[in-house]
Amino acid sequence: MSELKEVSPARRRTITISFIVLMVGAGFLNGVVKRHDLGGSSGVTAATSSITMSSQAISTAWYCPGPLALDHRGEGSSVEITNVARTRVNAQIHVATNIGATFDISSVVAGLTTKVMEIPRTHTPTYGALTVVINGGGAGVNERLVTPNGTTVSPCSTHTTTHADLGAGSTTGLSNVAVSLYNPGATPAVANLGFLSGGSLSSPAAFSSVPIEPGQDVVLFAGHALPQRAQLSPVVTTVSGQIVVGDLNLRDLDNSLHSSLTVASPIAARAWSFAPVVVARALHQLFYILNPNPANERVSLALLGDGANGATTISVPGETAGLYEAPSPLRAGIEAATITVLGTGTIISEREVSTTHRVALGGVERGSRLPATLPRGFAITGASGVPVTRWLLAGGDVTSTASEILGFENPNSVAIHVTITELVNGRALALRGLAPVTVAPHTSIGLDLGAYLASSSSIAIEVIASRPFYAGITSYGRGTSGISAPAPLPIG
Amino acid sequence: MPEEQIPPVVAVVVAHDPGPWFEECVESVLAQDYTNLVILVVDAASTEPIAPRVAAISPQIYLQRLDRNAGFGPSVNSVLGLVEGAGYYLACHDDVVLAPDAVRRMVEEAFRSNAGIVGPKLVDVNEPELILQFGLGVDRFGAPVRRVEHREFDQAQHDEVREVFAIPGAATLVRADLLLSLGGFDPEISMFGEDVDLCWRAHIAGARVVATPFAIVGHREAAASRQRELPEARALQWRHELRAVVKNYEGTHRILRVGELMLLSMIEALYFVIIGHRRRSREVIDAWRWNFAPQQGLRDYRSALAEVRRESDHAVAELMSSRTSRLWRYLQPGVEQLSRRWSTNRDVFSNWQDDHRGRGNEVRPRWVTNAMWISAILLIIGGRSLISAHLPLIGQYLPLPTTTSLLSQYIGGSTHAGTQALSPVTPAALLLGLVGIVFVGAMGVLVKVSLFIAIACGGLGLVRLVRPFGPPTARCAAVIAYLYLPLAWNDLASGDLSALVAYAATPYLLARLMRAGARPPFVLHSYPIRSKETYGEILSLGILIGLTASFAPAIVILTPLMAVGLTLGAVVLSRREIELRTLFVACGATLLALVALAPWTLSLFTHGVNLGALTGSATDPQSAAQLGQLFRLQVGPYGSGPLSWGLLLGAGYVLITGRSVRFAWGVRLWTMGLVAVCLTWLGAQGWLGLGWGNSGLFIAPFAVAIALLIGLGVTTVLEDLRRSTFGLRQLATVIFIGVSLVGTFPILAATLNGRYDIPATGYDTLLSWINRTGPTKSSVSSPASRRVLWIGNPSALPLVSWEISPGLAYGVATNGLPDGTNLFPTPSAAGLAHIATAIGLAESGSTVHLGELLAKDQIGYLILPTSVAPNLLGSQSTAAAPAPQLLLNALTNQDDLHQLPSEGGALIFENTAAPVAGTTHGGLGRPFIIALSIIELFGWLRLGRIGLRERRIRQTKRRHDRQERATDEHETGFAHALAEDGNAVEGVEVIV
Repeated sequence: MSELKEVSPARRRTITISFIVLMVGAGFLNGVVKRHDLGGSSGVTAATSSITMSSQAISTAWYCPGPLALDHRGEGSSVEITNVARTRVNAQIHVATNIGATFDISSVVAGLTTKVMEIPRTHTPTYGALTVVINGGGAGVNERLVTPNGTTVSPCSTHTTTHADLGAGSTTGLSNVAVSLYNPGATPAVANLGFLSGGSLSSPAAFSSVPIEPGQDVVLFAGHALPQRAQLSPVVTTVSGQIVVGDLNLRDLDNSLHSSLTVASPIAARAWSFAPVVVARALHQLFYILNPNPANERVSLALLGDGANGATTISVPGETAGLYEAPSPLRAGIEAATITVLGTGTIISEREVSTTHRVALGGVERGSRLPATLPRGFAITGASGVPVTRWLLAGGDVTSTASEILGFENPNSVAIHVTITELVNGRALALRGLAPVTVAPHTSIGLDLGAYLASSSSIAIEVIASRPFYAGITSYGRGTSGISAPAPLPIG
Repeated sequence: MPEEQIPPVVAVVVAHDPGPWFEECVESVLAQDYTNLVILVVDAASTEPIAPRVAAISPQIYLQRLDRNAGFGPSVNSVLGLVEGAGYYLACHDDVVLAPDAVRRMVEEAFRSNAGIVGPKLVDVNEPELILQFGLGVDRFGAPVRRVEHREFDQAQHDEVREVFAIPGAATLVRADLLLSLGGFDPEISMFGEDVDLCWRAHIAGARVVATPFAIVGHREAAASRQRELPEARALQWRHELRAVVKNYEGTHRILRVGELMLLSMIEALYFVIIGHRRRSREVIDAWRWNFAPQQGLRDYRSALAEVRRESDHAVAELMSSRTSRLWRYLQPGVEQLSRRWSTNRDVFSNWQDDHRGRGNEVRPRWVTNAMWISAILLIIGGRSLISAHLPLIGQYLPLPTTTSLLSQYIGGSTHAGTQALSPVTPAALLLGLVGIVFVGAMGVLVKVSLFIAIACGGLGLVRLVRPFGPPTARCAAVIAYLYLPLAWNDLASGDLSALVAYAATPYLLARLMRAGARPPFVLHSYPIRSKETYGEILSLGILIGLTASFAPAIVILTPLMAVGLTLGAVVLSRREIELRTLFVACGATLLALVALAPWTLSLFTHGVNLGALTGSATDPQSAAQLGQLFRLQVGPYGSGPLSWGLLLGAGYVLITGRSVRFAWGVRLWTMGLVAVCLTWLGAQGWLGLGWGNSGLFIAPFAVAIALLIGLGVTTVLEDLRRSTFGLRQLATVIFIGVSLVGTFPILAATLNGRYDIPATGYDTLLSWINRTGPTKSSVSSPASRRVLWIGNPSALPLVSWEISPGLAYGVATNGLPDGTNLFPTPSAAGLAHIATAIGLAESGSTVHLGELLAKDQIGYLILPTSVAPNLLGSQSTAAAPAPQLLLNALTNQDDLHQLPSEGGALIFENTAAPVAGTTHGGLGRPFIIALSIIELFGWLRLGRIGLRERRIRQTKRRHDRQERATDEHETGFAHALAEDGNAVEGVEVIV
């Protein structure tokens, strides 16, 4: 028999203690090692729509819930498709109206081109929503509504949802909120529409268990159920199926009705980023923050850019929504905003920019080239996503009656150089007289395109920098009222 | 009854070399109170004539001597021509003792019941209160079925006249005219079966056969108890039972019964070949040869029987027993031995037991046996609800195909697991198919039985593993720890059969690896690495790996890892000589197994390897088991409480107090266990890349190590503790015993559940409609359009799946719900890999027409389960296993996927895109697979034979080694006797 040498007592002690230490270490390791984050789990940052540039993309769909006014006197709706890729794409547009009629439009969009398609007449005033299916990637879609008081533009969405919260509206005076519930999929949906007002949720019976068949659009007016409410925010939940929610916020600004189209964000998130817009002392910047959780949440509102006043901590009670007005900037300029939850919960947020009278901006100052004044108007925008290196800024016009202001915010510690090109007729053209723009660290800059472009409607601007940055546009009417601040589309 | 009316009875006593009991037998016949009795003794060619002995008893006894011993029946037939006027014949063996009124009672009963054949109550000669037989039942194959438990205590429970099928031949009263009309006993049947045959023919002739309890006959059972030399007893039994079947049945009945018997005989012959009893196998085949030999004259006998036939086979079959006695005959010796052990008085041998205390030969104390049995019974009771309930469709509880389907899949390959390519199947299909034959096609019962048998086999393996280390107490402790660790029950609850197989196989694999290390106490002599013994170890381990990997392929990875762990343990011990032999054997055996599974392993290289198919798709790291859970073996519903740390803490005792081999092996086993835990954790967290998702499987070595360490701990208490001075060791011992006992409580409590938390409702209940309908909007409604894509968290998918990303896997069911074709893991997703690509496109937002992409694989439905089993509000709640939100968003965004109403947490999408006609995507050709399968089968048979031969050689060597250790001459002699005989002497409990 082979002999077995006895292990020495010292060695035995060493081995035994080593095992004990190993076990204790395992317990410690278990507590501190971070688990892999898969990504794609329920939202940490706001799920915003973006342009897919993957060469493998087979088909992408954009949902424009509107509600887009069709065949209303003095109003016109259109859809803007911008192809940032070099190859052309085919677009299939399916329009659904809230009276049940549907029709389809096909179109080809050349590479590096933007195309605006008017939605054909329905011969009956109605509202509509639409789906744009692109046979590939590289395209972004905006919905446009032209009203007597200006044009409102909003990027469409690539997501459907079971829950949507929209920013504050009003039903006092001429104000109203038209909520569009659009089911673009093949599965029937049933939705409940309620309104957060004064800290409580109202669920009108007429807006409960609303059936939405596949491909159908239902438009509901808040004023019908809750008239003369100074502030109310639509809340939509589906009992079954998934839909896209948008609203047309009609605001009475000194007896002048202004409109803003918004597409609801599909999920709550812990961080929201808002594109740079024009700010001034008389321009109110309001943030709508909804806390859907039962517990209170503390959020940090940080303003970035010219005249920014730093970060403010706001406490949002559980299951309530409120409007928080950002402090007035020290001077007119361009300002972006981020809202971050300091705890572990999630929130919904939108931004409203409004003014009841013309606002003086001050023109050229420190690299910015802003118009002298901004007309009255209001615009509600959703989040624009985290900073990226490439953005599509579409939906604006440079005409005799309108212009747009590009805004950039550099959150980096080094300067960035932003290349600005206009996508037109298959080419990406640099703007005349506008070399790559340098934005200093932690500063912002605004440029009125009217100074660099000839008259052109439906402009698609692509901006690229070497580091992630914020970009946005503020459209305004020259000599007329109306402003719009559609969220830009990140390209990736 | 007046004497003149008493019918004459001729008592025929057949004797052949009778023992000293002969005189008692004849005297008892002579002492009958039946007056009209003639005694005739037939000397069937005894070696020494018995005439003097008969004469010494009484001169009135007639004696006939035969020239040859043709058997009992023919001997009785020899007197039929000598006697005239007999009313009855009483045929007796020479080892019976009749009660004085036995004949009278039987004749009276014959009149009363109008019976053609009457039998007595047979009791033990020495203990008349014990009943030996009271008539016989017979199954449809002519095998006798006991009506009374052997040596059953007579409490008047059989004190009624009974109509029976047969009377045991010890003492049989037959009406003379009946006997003559039947032609007497069958002259071809010498012994064993002549009584059944006679009574069977009597039934066919319309006669009644009864047993009367009022006639008592003592029987020595000289033949059955082997007091006579009868080397051919079983061969004769088979032969004569078959003869009765082929002779007495007619028409369709004969065809059916002979066919059934043929199948049973084939299985028996194969069984004997496998266990190495070739002689028995030959006897089974010879029985057929003998019966169908031309000289048997079957046709003549059938014709003669046809002339007296009054009853149909159908009527006679109603008198037969419905159960088959043939299978029971194999189990009966073992069961009876067990029962004898319970009742045997061991005092006679206690001195010998005390003296012969060699390693592995200790006597198992009664309380140890009781503890093991009670533990096992409690666990079986814990699964009581599963006996009648059906297993839900969760995990791997899939309905098995039929036996013929399994066998044909093995031979010809299968497009299994939803793939469209023909690929080989592992030998698991063959094994299940063969076992399915034994279960007569009841595959559901087979699955249920297999679950518990697997765990029991694992326990048995652990007993063998612990045997070299310690006394029976240690083995008991180890087995109880093994059974009461939560791992097996977690595997049951989640339907993880692969992990269960691994848990059952690990003790055997570990035993081989530990033996391969050539360390005490396993091996007495150290062998060089390249030696015949090493190759023998490789062979036997390779066979074991191959068989178990057929069911759980990851075992081919698990075994080398265990070897690495054991080797590292040796390094920790600072052994200068690194135990390369263990690694060498493990790697060699794994390679051999891969070669033996060649058709299946070949398909690894045809379409690329998906490791997840072998190791299980990785689960979401967010929900994967953490280190603490792994240490507690909490990979399911069990193991969560603080008590679950008990057995783990107990396993540490051997490191504190153990010495010598116990400490050394304790270190090795702890190292191996920690390696297993580490690997499982890394895999679950996704740090090992794709796959490694089956935590329950990879943690099995750790669990077995714990059980083994508990056993070593008990050995340490018994061996090492007594040599140490009083101190902390004693305190540690108390703690060890306490925590180990407490560690069994959680599973003990789980037995209350009745079904070990296996959910009652599976996806088959919720989604049964899917097998009945096709997609409503598809233009083609055909079986092809019912292919279902199951996608989501791998732990929620009830079929074998392939990984897309950690926490996301998919599988395809060909016919709606998953079935047995989705049970066997395939190495690659041949032909279905583009499904993963399509899903990726949908998740990245690159397509809104996923349905169209999936239509190329005729996918009609997508099902996204979000929990291990359906969650039904108010009735069933199971662990959640959610799919990634990104996937859910992607699916709801698709234009051509229509979400259907559903419940239970499973999301269902109907593909509204029209399915495209399918094509087979490559794979191995069927003729090639058939050829490979046949080669593989022959290879396994060859390996099996070599392995059995090697095993016998090793056993012989071990016996010689033990004999070398024996010092006492008496013990040596006894050991030799045991070695030669191989059977335990009755009444002695010796563990060898």
